[in-house]
Amino acid sequence: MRFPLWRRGRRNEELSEEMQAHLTLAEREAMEAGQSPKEAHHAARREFGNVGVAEEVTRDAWGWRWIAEMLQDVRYGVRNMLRTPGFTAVTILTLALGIGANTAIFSVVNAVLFRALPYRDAGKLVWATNFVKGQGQNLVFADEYAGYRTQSHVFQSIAAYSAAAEYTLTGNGTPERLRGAMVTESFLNVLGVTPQLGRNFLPEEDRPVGAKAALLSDAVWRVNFAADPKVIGRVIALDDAPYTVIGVLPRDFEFLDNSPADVLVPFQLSDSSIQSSNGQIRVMIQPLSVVARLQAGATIVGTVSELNAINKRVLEGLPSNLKRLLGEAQSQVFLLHDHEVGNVRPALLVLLGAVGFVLLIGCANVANLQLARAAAREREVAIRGALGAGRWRMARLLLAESSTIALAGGVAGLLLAAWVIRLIHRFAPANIPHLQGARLDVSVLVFTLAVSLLTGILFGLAPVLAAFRVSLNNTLKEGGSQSGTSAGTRRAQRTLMVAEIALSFVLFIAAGLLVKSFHQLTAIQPGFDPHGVLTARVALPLDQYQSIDQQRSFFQQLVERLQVLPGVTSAGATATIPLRGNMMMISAIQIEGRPQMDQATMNATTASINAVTPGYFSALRVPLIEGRLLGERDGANAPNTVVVNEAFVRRYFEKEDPIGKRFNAGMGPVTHGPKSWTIVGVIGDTKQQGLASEVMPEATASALQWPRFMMTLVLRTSVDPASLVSAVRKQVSDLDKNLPVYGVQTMDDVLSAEVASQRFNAGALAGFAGLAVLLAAVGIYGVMAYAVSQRTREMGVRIALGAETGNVLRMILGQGLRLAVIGAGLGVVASFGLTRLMSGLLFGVKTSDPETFVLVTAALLIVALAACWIPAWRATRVDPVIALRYE
Amino acid sequence: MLGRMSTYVMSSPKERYQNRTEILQGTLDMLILQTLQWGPRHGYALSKAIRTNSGEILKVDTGSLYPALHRLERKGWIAAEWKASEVGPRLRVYRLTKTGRKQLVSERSRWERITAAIAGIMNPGKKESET
Repeated sequence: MRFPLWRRGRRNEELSEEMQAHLTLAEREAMEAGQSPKEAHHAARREFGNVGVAEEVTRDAWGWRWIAEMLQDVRYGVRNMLRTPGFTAVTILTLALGIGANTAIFSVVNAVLFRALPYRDAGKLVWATNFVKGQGQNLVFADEYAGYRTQSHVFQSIAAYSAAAEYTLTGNGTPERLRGAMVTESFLNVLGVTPQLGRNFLPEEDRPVGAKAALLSDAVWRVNFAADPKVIGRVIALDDAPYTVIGVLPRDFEFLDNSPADVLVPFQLSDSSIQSSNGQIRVMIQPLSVVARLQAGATIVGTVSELNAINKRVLEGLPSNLKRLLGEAQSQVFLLHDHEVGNVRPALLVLLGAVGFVLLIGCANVANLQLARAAAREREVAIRGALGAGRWRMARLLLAESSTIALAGGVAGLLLAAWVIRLIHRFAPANIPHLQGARLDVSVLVFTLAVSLLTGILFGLAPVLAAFRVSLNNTLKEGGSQSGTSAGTRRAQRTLMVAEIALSFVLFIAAGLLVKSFHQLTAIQPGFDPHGVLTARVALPLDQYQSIDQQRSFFQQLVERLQVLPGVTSAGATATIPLRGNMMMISAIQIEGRPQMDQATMNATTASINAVTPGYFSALRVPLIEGRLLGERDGANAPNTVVVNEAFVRRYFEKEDPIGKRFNAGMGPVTHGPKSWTIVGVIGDTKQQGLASEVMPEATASALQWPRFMMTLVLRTSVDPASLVSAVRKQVSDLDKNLPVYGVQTMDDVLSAEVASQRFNAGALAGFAGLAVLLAAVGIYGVMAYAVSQRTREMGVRIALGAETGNVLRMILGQGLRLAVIGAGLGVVASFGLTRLMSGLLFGVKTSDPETFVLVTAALLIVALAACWIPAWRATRVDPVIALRYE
Repeated sequence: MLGRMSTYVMSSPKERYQNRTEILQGTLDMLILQTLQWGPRHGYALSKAIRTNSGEILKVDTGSLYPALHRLERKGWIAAEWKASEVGPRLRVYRLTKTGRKQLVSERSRWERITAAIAGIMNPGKKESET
């Protein structure tokens, strides 16, 4: 019977006892046959043979041999490690840094890129959109969606959704602003998601003018409804309209597009964008996103061609004015997974590559240390070989040793990774989807184990190969003398050192490019002063604030109240805040006194339009270039006035003075507002759509003349902006206690979020590059110090023969520098190839940016020189007398 | 230092033993089972019994005997038990188990088939006249 491994010790004793008993019995019998005790003892021994071998072959019969040998190897390795604690600590720390960084980044990559989306059979899900050349829009219209739904054969199921919806939840304590999405009734079926409570939408709830139903997220259900299961069937007020709660989404449900969904409501989409009501034809363009589940066997290419055919049929059936508006759409279909994570994939893969480099450098370092030690152990290896140890057995012993070290490094790395993952959760930009799933789970642990073992084999291989080359005779013949390192080992060490420099050079370049991009981005002037500004959003429910007079007076009153709050220097309200890109567009801008435009020009004359209260300009410190700003005198009954930005002037008033000119806009949200405006001033360009984007022509109207029901408050404060939040909430609820204040942010936060991903990429890569350079410096130092110690005698001779300090210093530094230059040269070549992969992450910097290359080369050579300095200096201090007596 | 290395150092003599074990293995197993059929025995007594019963022709090497005993024990054909002896040290005594008895029957018939076959080859004339 096989006994458990842990009982081996006792089993070994018993085996010895059994053998001993055999010998005793044989001895006794020989004595009884008349031999002397001494003769009997020897006879029994002779008869028995080698006791040790007999014991060992018997142990083999137990079937634990390979484990036993491995344990022996590991025990031997641990003993060796403990004999040189400093060496072991440096090795384990180096590996821990490399493995820790890899584990942390892998856990992110695993959660974001590798793990399947949290939907049933997610590999079959696709995301479809339409691209219209020239218009640059990526949207599907209701007519096209209806075509897909009824005519396509490639989809098992199809759904449409629109994520950017917001609702005010009232009648349930404090009014709350919920982020939501409109979805077709098929939406949850397509994803394969079942509500944890209640039911999915019914087809009749998804028809135009159907019953209003709502599905709550688990979070809202718990926070706002105390996880009450009786919430099903309850009527809640969203934007003051009654919705029946029909279900609660699963706890782990994640909406698409990395967008939060507190509540889902039926889309109630009609099949056509053209609706006639009260005898009037109205065009309702509702852009939507499409998600679908492919039939078995359907391909992306096949889907694209079918959707294109449907697009064409749909377009032919439309009236001509709508045809022009929609244009001929080119279908684009992506796997849902690619659509969801595609934009963060390059950055994450670059990071994964970077930590891979760090680990390789760590491996090279450890391999170097092991090589140095292998040289010192040549005698041990030779003796073992002479005594009959097979090569394979020797290799196993050395590999077991390095694997043990690597595993220790892996365990330390896991601790480090747990900490780094916490940092990532804290500092990673919000635009990385599914990041919350990044943790040390089983697959990450398996990854770490595999990486550790691979690392152990990788750096353990160098001494193994060195051991294979050991010539028994030469090593043993050298007697007691400490043998010098073989030429092969020296070459291997230098190769590793060059590789380290080249690897860290590439990382350094990548980090340099990203840091420069980040600086380029942050150096962009946003066109306003973002420091010390608080923003908060308020949306008026339209059924209570139906008339524009009500809307106007509400915001007028609110701004007046905010203006006098202590700590507020100026207050205003605006329809859109800079950097957010939620612009309203007008087109067909006809400037008075210019010839009537033709159709093509009409579509091309576009501008964005904003509406602000007069305090906006001083609150954001938007500069006035010419003319005047909008003020209280541009009230409801005054002539309609606007200020335009410089981009507007550049585009439409190349050679003319815009002040006093009038224009009207044929299309856009203003069709129900003022028809014509007079330009009274020119303001500076503000970055409305993000720092990196071009500024579009923009006209800013007065919210007194063109009131909006949804506005963002902007307050310039003389105190910490965050300290005013409750005061703002109080002012709003004093005016209307059912109004929630939401989207509270300082402008600094908005700006910071804008550059968050660039900052994260640059910061992470700079950190890894720093680590890489540090490891490389340690590696260079190690190799040079070892080389110098090996040449102590030579140095002594040189100095005895009259070599100057400077000569010796130059010689050692020159050698180090030569290797560093070779490494940097290889690094340049590798960088040209590899940085191209990250061109998408850069902003305002070319992948071959000469400035970065020159700076990095210089910095790395300085680091290499510094790392060589101490060994070189030590070489000059060699005392010839001692050196010559050395060995 | 050297003692720790015995595993590697001794690998070649060990291999010699293993080769011999391989050659004898099938037969040795049967001999052990057969001998234990007559009653439980410790290792020394077993080797003596095999030697005596074979008229001093078969000498079982300890380096083959003990691995075989431990292997048979692992297969469950024999069981071992420590027993105190009158003569001094306690002894590990092996006895045949139920499955061991079955195994002996099948080993014996296999052996008989093989010896008959070998006999047929060695004495072809005799075999032909019999059939």
